[in-house]
Amino acid sequence: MNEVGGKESGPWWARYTDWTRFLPETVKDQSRRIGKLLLLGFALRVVLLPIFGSTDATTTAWIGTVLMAKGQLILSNDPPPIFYLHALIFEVFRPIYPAAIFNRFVSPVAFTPGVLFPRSILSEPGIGILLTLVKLPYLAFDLASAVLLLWLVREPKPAVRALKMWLFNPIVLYVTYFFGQFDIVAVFFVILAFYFNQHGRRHGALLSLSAAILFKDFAIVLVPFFLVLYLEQKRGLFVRSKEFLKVALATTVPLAAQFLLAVLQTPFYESANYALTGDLMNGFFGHTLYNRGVPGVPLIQGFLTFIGYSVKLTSFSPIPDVIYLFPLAYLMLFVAWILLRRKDAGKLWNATTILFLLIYAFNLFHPQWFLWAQPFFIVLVARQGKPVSALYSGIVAFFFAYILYFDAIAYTFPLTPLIPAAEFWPGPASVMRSVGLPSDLIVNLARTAFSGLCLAWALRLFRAEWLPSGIPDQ
Amino acid sequence: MRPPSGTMDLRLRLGVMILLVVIFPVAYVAAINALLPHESLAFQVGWTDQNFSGWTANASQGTSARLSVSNGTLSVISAGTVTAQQFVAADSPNLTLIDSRYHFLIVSIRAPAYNVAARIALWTGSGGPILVLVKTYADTGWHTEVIELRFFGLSITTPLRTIELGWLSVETPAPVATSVDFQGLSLAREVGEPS
Repeated sequence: MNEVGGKESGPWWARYTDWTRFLPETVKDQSRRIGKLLLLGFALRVVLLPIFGSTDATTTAWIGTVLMAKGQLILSNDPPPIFYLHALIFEVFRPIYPAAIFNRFVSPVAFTPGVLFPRSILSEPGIGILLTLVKLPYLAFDLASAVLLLWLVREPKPAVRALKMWLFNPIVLYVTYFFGQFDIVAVFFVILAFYFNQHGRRHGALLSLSAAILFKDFAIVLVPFFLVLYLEQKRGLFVRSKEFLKVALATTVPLAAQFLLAVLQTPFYESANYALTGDLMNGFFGHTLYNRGVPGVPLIQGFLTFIGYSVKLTSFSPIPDVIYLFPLAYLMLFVAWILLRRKDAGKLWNATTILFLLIYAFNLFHPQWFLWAQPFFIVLVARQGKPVSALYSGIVAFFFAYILYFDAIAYTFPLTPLIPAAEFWPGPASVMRSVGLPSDLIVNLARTAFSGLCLAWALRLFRAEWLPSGIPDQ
Repeated sequence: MRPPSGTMDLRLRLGVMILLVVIFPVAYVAAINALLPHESLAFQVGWTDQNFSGWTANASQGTSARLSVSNGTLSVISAGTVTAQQFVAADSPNLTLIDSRYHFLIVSIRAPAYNVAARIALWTGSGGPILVLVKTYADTGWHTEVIELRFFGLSITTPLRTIELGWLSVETPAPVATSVDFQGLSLAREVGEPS
């Protein structure tokens, strides 16, 4: 019986008080415990909403605000749809939007180097409200992801464990509420795609993958794995071709939508400073759009950056012969996936986890990118327990050492909304350098250990999935 | 087993949910916003030049410039066609007494078209000019630039000697009498920043 009771005799709104409708049957008997966990997780997030935020969060807010106020799109490496979502929320909450920040965002004052602008916004009056507005959709997608994990993990105990690990996960909290990055939106749709896939609902899975790609292009790397799984489950050239077309459509439609938005929306003329070089030169110079110092389309540039972040091997010949390790590892994993027999949703989950581990082991990555894999890690840890949880804890610990690379951007600037003086604090790596510690060496060693643990976990998963079942039948 | 709840119970439940999910968070955010001390970005000016007296015209080989000052606005005007790679500028007199703690150069700029890029160069007394700004603008309104000079290596040991405000042509040559305006030139530090 429903806990709310009196379903037939109660008022029409009674059903809305029964939040347990969102829980799967497998864990409904633990609804009180889950309710407490969700409330605690929610409270923790609310506490973090207004007091932390990085320069990335204020840059996102700037783009969203300019779109809302002027109808002009600032072209960045991130796909435009997220900025429309922010513009919509800013419009809805326009009466409480902090006036001082709004005026700064639409004023013709520019800074060199550019990072000074979003950094200075972090200490403006009203920053708490702005950060809350920015993170509001993240909160919704984050909590929805938490509940989705309960539906995804069918065993009751691991399901609740996964929920707990998600709600109090330092990476989820750091990336979404301390750093204020929007990757949670795409991550939610990725989890949803795997949920639909687990339940044999392909169209739902493809639609969710499309939505994930729409908000963040990284989800494209998952598509070939889904494609192979679907093709294997079908027979006949025509049926397979149809399946291929569906997957191709699911991939290209969000990309086309991003492109169309970028082309059709009036661009904001962000003046690039030609006196700067490399990553610092962004925007228009004359009629040419520059992205990280290179003329080109930002979306493509973003993808090329991803490849450029890979560890590479170079030969010592006069011909610049380069082998990128991540694309190499990706291709090897993909071929292994094609050859794997009896593929299913569980194996796809593990292969995807390996894929993410390879990305982090072999690529330079931004702090927020580490969020992409968290649902995959969490579910495996929740199911497999101790040995894997130790491995995961090590990876998380070394992640926080790895992001010392980003110094003040990752550690001290985000404190500015709470402690305005933090705007001028040096980052931990700078402090280490100033006291004579070899910060680069320390961070590089931690990074090496991080990659080592990622590869160790990938190997463990690979052995479990491939070696027993990958041996061809005699 | 718990007894079935009545309507009052449901109302109470809904009320508690609204309190927890909406009212408490809103009250918390409002309180944080009111209690945490934040100041709007402000600069403390350490040096300024509002009348541009003593500034001299400068230009690349093959072209020339003239200056005009009116109501605190310095106009750098081309006296010949300015082709790509050429610039015209106004050079400040020697600035030996500037306190290097004022490490932001602030100036407002007005340029006429996409094919004209505002250009700011600095001289430290040793080496060549340091380019700190080369920008084109989408409109003919005023744009204020705040430039962190420490980013370009200026410090107590390498102090600023000369500021050069000017422009260069981009993509297509700029005709004679093209003008870029500058005003509100100052060197400043952010209010609240540590000394």
